[in-house]
Amino acid sequence: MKKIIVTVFMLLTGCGHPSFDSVKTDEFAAVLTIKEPGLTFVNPQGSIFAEWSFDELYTGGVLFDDNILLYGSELDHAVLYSIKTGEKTGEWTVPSGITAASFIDETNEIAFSVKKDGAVHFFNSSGTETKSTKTGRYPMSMLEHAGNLYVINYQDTVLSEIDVHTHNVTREFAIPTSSTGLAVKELSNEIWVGGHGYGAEASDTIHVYSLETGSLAATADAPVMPIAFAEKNGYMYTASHGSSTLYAFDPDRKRIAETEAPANPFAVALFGNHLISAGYDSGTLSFHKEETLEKTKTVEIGKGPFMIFVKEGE
Amino acid sequence: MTFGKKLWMTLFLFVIIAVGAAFGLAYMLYEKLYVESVKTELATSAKSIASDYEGGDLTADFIDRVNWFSEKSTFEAFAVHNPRELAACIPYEADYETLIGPHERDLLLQNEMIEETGYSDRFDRQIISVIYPLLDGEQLKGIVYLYIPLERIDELVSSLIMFWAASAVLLIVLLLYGGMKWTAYVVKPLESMKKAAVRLSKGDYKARVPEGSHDEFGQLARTFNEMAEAIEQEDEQRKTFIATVSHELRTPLSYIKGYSEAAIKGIGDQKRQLEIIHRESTRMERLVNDLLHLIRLEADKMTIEKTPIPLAEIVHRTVDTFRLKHPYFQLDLDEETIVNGDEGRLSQVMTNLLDNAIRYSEKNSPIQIELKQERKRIRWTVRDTGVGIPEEEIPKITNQFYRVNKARTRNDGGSGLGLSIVKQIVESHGGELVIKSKKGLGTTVTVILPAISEEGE
Repeated sequence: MKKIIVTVFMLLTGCGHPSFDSVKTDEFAAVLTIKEPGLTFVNPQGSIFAEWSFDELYTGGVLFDDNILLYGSELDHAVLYSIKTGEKTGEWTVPSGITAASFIDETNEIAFSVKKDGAVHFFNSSGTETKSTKTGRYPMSMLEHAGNLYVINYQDTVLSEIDVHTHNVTREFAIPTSSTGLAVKELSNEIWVGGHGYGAEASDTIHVYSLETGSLAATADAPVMPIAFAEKNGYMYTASHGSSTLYAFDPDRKRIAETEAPANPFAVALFGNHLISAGYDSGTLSFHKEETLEKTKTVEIGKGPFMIFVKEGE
Repeated sequence: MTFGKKLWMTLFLFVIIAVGAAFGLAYMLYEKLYVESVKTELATSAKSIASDYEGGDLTADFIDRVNWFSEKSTFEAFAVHNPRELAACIPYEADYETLIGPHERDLLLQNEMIEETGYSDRFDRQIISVIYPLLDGEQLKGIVYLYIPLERIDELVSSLIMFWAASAVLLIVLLLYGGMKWTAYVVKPLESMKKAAVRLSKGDYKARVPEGSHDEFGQLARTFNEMAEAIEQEDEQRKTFIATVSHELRTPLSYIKGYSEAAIKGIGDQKRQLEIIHRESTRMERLVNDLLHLIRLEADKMTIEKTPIPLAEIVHRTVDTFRLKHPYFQLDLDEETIVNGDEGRLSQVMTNLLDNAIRYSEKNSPIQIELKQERKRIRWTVRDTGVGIPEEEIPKITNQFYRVNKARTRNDGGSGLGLSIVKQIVESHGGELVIKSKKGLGTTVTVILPAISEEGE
């Protein structure tokens, strides 16, 4: 009898993978926190409906299908969780030093940028590496658009364009060093590159490049240190973490609104008909109206929110 | 190494340790108190500067005011609003050393002031610093950074060190001078005692030390002098003794020499001469025997073997040996008297007492011997009606070679040792010798001995 009790107790507590709250809805924003490692799920009304907390530090992740793949810059593995069940469904062996990840729709692959070898590593959906492509020093921000993967090399002066089918670098754009943050504005076929600034010098400028020619098309002012973007219908939104400010630009790249963001924002995203932004220092998530950026709500989200994943139906 | 040097060196060591410890303690205390006061002052100033901040971005005016403060004050001060310096870019990998780290940023975000003491990479020196947050709501808009290089404190401390070192040297010199004087004072009586002891050992028994103080040294000096006194007296006695013995032996020897020469030359009555030679050699024999006896008794070499003895029997036996010389005895003896003693020694006592009584009495005068047991003691008395002893002589009568008749005419023929020997034996039996006498009326000598108790001994 005792043996049975002990076995049951062990099943209930110790062994086995941790299981989190299941997320049944297809409409949520998940905020990754890193001061207290976890994932907080919020619905479009700004209510938290699920909270996951982790034993190890994940510095980023990528959402695809009903899964979230989480990695850590100091980890040599990435973990796969099912959003629907809240269960860990896999663990991939990956190179350590991952700085970003991107899901490529067309090939159903995951791309990891790795700072140590200055390359982008491609993995298939079952977690096997298929190819790696050298890009530059410290690849960091990635974005997939129209069959191409755009990679900012943070400690380099090059933005690499990789063909997602051939995995080869097809073009290189000249950009300022210490650039970070990337967004494509389809309407005018341009790519926006944020700036962190080099050394003690903080950058205030967004550089806009034509995707057609690869040359600098324009710059936009967004002090201090614009590093995160969100785009909708030709309107570009950016978060400047140095000044904790959100900016809105109209399709003509004219700055039409700015407002105070939660303290030290590293992430901005469009969710439903709101712009949301997470403050790393304040631990809050704020909801703003599109275009005017009028703040409608602030939610306590957890310590050190760093990244936002949004899912809005199929 | 002399005691004085040892004492001086110990003192020297203690002085060095004490001065060193005092110095170290004062330095620590000074530094701690000073650093603490500097920190407090830094914190107060930082707080005061930060109170001017009214929210929003840091204005040029505010920054100027901080710079103005820095110029006027002893502290270095500056305001920082560059988010990159304030570690805002963590968790991005920093490509340069920020002014504050992520931990400090977290504390500042909680509106906590940061105090640090130690080496700063940024300023490449040891500093005491205070960082005060400038918060606008939850946003860290900037900081006020105040610091003072530790060298300035060290400079202050180093001037103190000079002062301290000078004081320490002066203190050491003073203490050591005092210490030397004191050591000399302490050692002086020991020195004089040493010198006196050396003189004593070389035979100068008159050597004495000044007694001076009433402390242990004074007591020691007094004891030393008493010892020297005793040795001197002993030496005196020894000399007197040897002189007396030589003198005592010389008289019979001169008789023997003279009469034997006459006999050899055939002058005079040879029989008479031989009788005198025999008498004098007997006297010498007795004298030498008595001397040997006495010396043994004094050296305690002659062990007293005590056994229960009927004292009356000893009296009878001894009296019998004297009856030829003196026929008239009156005995009053308690025959039951038992004493715990050495039979031979007690016979000697009886012999010496009777010898004296007969020697100084008329042949027909009675000699009384009494033996009485009282509760815890035995009284053993010999009484004669002879020439007696002058009262003033009685206390000296038991001294060696003391004779009442100073002329030492050989008629009464004693060695002057008899009563000395009696006294020694009686005292070695735990008893007492009492002599009473009146000149011309006779002498009573009483030996008091402890009786055997009923429980038995």
